Amino acid sequence: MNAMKWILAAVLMSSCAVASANTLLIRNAQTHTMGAAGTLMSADILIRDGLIVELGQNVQAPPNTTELDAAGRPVTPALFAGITALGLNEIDMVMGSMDSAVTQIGSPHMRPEFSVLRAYNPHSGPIAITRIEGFGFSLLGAVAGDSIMGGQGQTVRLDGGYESFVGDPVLFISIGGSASSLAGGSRAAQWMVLEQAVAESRSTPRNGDHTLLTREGRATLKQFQRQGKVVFSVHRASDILQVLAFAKQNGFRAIIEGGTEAWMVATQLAEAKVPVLLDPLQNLPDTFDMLGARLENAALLEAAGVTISFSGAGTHHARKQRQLAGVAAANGLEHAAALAALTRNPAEIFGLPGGRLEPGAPADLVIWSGDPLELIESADYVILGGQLQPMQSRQTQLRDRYLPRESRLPRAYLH
Amino acid sequence: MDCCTNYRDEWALYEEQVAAGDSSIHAPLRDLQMETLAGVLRGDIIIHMHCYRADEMMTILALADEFNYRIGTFHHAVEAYKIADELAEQRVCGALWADWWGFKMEAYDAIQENIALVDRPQGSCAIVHSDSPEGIQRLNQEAAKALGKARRAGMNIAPEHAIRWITSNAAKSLGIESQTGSLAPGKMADVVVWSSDPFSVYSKADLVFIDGALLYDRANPALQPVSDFELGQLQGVTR
Repeated sequence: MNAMKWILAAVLMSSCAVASANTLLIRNAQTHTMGAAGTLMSADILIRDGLIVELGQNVQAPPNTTELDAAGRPVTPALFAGITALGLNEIDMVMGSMDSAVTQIGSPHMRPEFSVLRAYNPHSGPIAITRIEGFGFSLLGAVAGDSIMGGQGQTVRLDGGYESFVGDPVLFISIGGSASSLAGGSRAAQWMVLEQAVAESRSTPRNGDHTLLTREGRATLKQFQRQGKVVFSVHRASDILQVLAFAKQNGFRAIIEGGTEAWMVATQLAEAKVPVLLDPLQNLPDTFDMLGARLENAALLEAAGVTISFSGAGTHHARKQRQLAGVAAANGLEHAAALAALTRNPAEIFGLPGGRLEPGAPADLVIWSGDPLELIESADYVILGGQLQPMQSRQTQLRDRYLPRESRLPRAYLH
Repeated sequence: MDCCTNYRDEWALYEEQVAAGDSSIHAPLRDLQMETLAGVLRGDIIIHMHCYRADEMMTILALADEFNYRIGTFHHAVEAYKIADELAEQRVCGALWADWWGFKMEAYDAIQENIALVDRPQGSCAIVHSDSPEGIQRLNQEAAKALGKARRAGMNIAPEHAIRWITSNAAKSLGIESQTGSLAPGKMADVVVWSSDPFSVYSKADLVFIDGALLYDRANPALQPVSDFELGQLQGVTR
């Protein structure tokens, strides 16, 4: 290749890169805006510099725009993957690959100042595996190893950035039967300990006091009492009411995670404007905290005016969130409400931009092969920050290695 | 394995001699553990084996070959897709998850096309399983995931074929395919009437017949069983 051709190729490549990096037009998309515009049966979406700039009929493409024909397929905002340890936990049971918990740290053992963010690794395998299924953001959870006070997490965009944290910091607290062993052996003791922690955060302990919190922990817990967002992992109806009272009393903005019996106190949740992140697959009374488990939980909460979203599939199976929404929709939740619970609602709950497709919103969206709630369908294209994401993960590469029926060389040479 | 082949052979000899009218012979000492293993060697007992990795399944197949017994089904088998041809050749079933992975190192190489790739060779026996009280309630949805991912990978599997993953192949794995697992004259009347396409997330089992008896009717609460545990819970709560 001569020098002139090299230069031409370089110019072409760079101009393509600029065009694709900056301007993308999706044509003919069945657009679930999740905003005031509702669902548009056929719309064009113009994306520039990571944002949606125009959405409607016959949008004009500026020069050097990359065009993508959705051919009438559904387009939604990128989905919420629930509360996970994406980017924190590589493989369960492999010590040294799990970074979402603080445990056995000694006394005082209640550490609200613990934050998982500095352990986040955007190259972690489960992220690409989740992203290519249409997921764009997740709330990183902090787990209580030996305390009901889990620590802090935040929402992360799954765009591969090292610091893609958005929205409000969130504190995690566990309440109920499964957390009994972490605080005084009963749920009654849990409230005693929590009240003690709150009281401690408001005063400086004297030398010799038996303390639950470090100085940093006191400052953190005090900060969250100024309308900070606290995810309470709790299932039983009576426990949920205790959470509502505790949060109101102390200035926390509660978010319920789990909420198997939330439908029994839906009115109170709606009045308190407390959202619920539930698992619609949880229809069995696995514990005495879950005797009220039922498939209509999501539909009943929505009908009562509670803002709902989904969580419960965990880190590696976060892609099951679509199934959680689908099963909720199969049991009384409107299709649009199920989609909102995967997009707009979690964005609102955790205070991040997006979750809607409208001018000015981040261009985080998915083109689907069909109804996004149907498990036989898949994400065809995932766009985060205006960038088409590679539809590839370690799992698709393993698939592609074993998909050919024959291989002349051992499969290790297929890559 | 030698001990159980000896045990099997001692009993075979004994039964042969008894059948020949020899009343003087003493029965070998009965050993329940050996009896089970001898049943495997005779082919009376089907082996269902927990195994994740391809190399371990290959080792087990070699062991079975050496001692002349058969593996019926590998359960979990997240790496079964790597040895799909070998499994089909040996007529070994794989009872597999649609999408589980990552909960331990053994489940690191899981792919969502495992079921479809195990299903692909002639003579295969792929089964969608759950290993979970949640998944078993929605095995049709698990099959839908596997079918969708197969299509994505360019394997166009017909739904009437894919339904075998949760019906006739499972019956074959359990050795009861002559009685159930398919709709044919002479089979037990184990039938589900679906509200719509069973591979749709919106679809529900409307009617379930077990051996001809209607034992679940979605429209009739009198035909919806409630377990002893669930009975009488949450007094004062209206559902």
